[in-house]
Amino acid sequence: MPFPLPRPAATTLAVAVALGALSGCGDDSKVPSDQSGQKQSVVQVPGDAETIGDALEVVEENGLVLVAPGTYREQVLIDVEGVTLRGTERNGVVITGEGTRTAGVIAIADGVRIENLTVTDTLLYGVLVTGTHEGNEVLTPAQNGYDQFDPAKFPPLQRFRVDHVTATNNGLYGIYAFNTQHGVIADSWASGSADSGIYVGQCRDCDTVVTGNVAAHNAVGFENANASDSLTVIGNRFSENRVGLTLTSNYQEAFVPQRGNLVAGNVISDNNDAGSPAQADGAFGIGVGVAGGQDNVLLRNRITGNDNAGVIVQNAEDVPSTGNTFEGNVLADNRADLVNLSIPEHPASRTCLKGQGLGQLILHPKGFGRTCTADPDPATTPLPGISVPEGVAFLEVIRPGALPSLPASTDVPAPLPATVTHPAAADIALPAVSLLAGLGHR
Amino acid sequence: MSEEPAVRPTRRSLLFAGGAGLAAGVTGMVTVGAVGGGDPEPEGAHAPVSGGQSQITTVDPHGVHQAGTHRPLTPPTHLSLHVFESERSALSAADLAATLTELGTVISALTMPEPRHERLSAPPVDLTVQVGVGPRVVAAAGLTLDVRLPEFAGSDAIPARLRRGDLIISVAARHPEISVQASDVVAELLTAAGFTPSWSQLGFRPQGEGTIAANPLGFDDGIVQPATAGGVPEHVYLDEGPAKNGTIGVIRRFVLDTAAFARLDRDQQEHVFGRDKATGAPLSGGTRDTDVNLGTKTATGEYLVPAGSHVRAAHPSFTGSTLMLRRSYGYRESVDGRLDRSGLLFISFQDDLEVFSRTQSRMDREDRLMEFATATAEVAFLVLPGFDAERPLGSTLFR
Repeated sequence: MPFPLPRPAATTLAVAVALGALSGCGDDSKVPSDQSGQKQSVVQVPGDAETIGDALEVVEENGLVLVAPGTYREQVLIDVEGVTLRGTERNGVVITGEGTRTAGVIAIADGVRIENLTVTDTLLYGVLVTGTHEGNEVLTPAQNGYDQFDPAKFPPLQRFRVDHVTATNNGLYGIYAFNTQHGVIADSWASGSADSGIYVGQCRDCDTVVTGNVAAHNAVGFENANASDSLTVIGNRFSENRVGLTLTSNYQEAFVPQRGNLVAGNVISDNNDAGSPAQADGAFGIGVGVAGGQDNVLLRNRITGNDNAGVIVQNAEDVPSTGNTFEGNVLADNRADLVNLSIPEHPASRTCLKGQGLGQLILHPKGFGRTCTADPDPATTPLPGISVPEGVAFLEVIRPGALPSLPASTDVPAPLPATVTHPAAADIALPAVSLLAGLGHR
Repeated sequence: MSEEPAVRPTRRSLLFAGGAGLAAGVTGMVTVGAVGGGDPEPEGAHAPVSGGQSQITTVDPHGVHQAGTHRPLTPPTHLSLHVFESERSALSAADLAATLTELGTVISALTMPEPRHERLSAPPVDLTVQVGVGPRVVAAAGLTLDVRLPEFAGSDAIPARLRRGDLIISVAARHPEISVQASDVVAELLTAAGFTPSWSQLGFRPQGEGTIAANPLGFDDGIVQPATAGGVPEHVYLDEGPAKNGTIGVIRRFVLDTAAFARLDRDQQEHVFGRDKATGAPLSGGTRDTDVNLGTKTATGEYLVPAGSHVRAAHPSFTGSTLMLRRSYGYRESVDGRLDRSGLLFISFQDDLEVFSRTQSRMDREDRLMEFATATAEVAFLVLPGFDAERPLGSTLFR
């Protein structure tokens, strides 16, 4: 296809990791001093426990694991409710998969915070937050099997916060929230992922905010498959990936179709990065891809400089893209600003552009997005294909320089609230071109 | 690309994936040694009879389901397919009931090991005669069931008479002479009842293992099949209504460009299929029986099972579909004055025509294998529910 959009995420790896056995030095290494089995509200690493895994053995619910600078060669499983995993210095606290381990940090308990640290060089996930596990066996949906995933068996994880986390050079995903609700991914950085930098998937009433993040040099910056309703993506920079942002329906996961997100005040620019891993379906030069997405609102974003297209709208298998509204965005310097790639059998409809200067936009076909009716939107043959550079190995993608840390604190934070506060759409302004652009330079 | 370090799950996770696969994957391999090739349906099984030196196996035509869909488990090596049309513009339920009843009686006689049917020159080893009915017959029975095949890429180039049929008769047997002799008997009956042949095809397949056999392009087919419950494949048979225990069959005949495929080097061929040619293993790793891992990537971000490969294009997870039961045959087309051509008689069974249609539509868009295949005939049909002496063939549709 000349305009290949990523087909819905390939989250098909059955990653069953018995994390106890795989994390760090395991149970036999240094165990904190309290021999009585008493849990502690604050556990310092390496002061009180040699590894993060050890610390999680003794931290109490709603407690704090505070990690000092160092390189931690372990795979961390957070299965204690309400725990905060905090680095004392974002750039110096490094959890590495060394190019051999599956994940950096996996959270399967409710109410977990992960903040102020770096997770790198894992095969699949930097940070994975998921409600999909059996005991401590973490699963991604069993789509490489042939059974439909049963969401009723796996209730969504409740409440999480990923804050000031740097996730670089992880094989598939940097920060990955799957089957979760009431979450925040904020002020983080994700680069060098062969699937996406930040991913939110398979939730209804997600009640999740993704804000203040940078995703760069990934195959896809931010990816959503089947995450619907209250997912707000605001004030992020998704630039210099192969694809900036996608909203997709995916039969490989539950809750088709994807619908009802607010994507506002983001910079989604120059997604023509030859220095990232390949997008496996060949996508390149795309700002926003909507595939089988419905009733999403894209409001006051800057979607510029994408060599293939600013926005592509298409079906995902038999799921049409319908009712997506694009209001007050700056669409400029893209080869085409808004492109309809839906096939005639599953046409887009009610795709609707609103705002000033719509007459200046390059629409493909002409008139796409201007009718806003329930009739099939105008469609035509795709634009010519563009040349796609070879992918770069994920471990070799350029790494960021120092990134801002949270202020040092040993305070144990209050439990995360039951619900997340979403900014009001009316309060979101068109971002500056330079939004978050100064971060991460070496 | 295979030199690249692959992003793949840990060994532990592969073990887990393997476990899931065992639960949901290949139905297993049962050689025909027991009666009916592992037929789980106990009713009225024929006993093995002695035929010279070796044991003769036959397949009971009677039961809840017709033979030829999931039993015998291993499809017999020879197939004689005939698609018939009624000469009449209007099909009468009474005529159809009479014809189907008579057909059932003849099938019982043909598949009986003793006494052997007078028209068969040898014992009916693994002989099955499966009867399907096309859209007009389904409508004549007053069913709303959808068995009308939609148009796919290339359908418009197929003559109309090769896209329809009223009776679809698949005669399979271990030995080629038995499949054609039995189909001659059936054809005579149907001709006398006012049906004319619209298209037909002789097919063959290697013995293979279970449902798995190499296709004419040299790659194993039929590897992943529906899970079974009590020996019966899931999501294959209809579970309610007059057609309960029937199934929706699809047959598409493809001429294959074997010469063009042979010009690809082995790596390219494997990228078209998404499997290793020698072992049948998916390119994501493991053995032939390992579930494909569609998400596994190389370090630079390419799928190990490539975009555009048959395994990826046809995988049911992308369309939210169930697995089809597949029992395809190869064939050879010989026309005087021209080199012979090889082809594939694709045969699938499912409980919903949409399962096939969604998958084929996706393949038309994405499957590189389709570049080597040209459809020349196609039909969908209802395989009638099973029958026996008390319950004549077709009796649940025409009473």
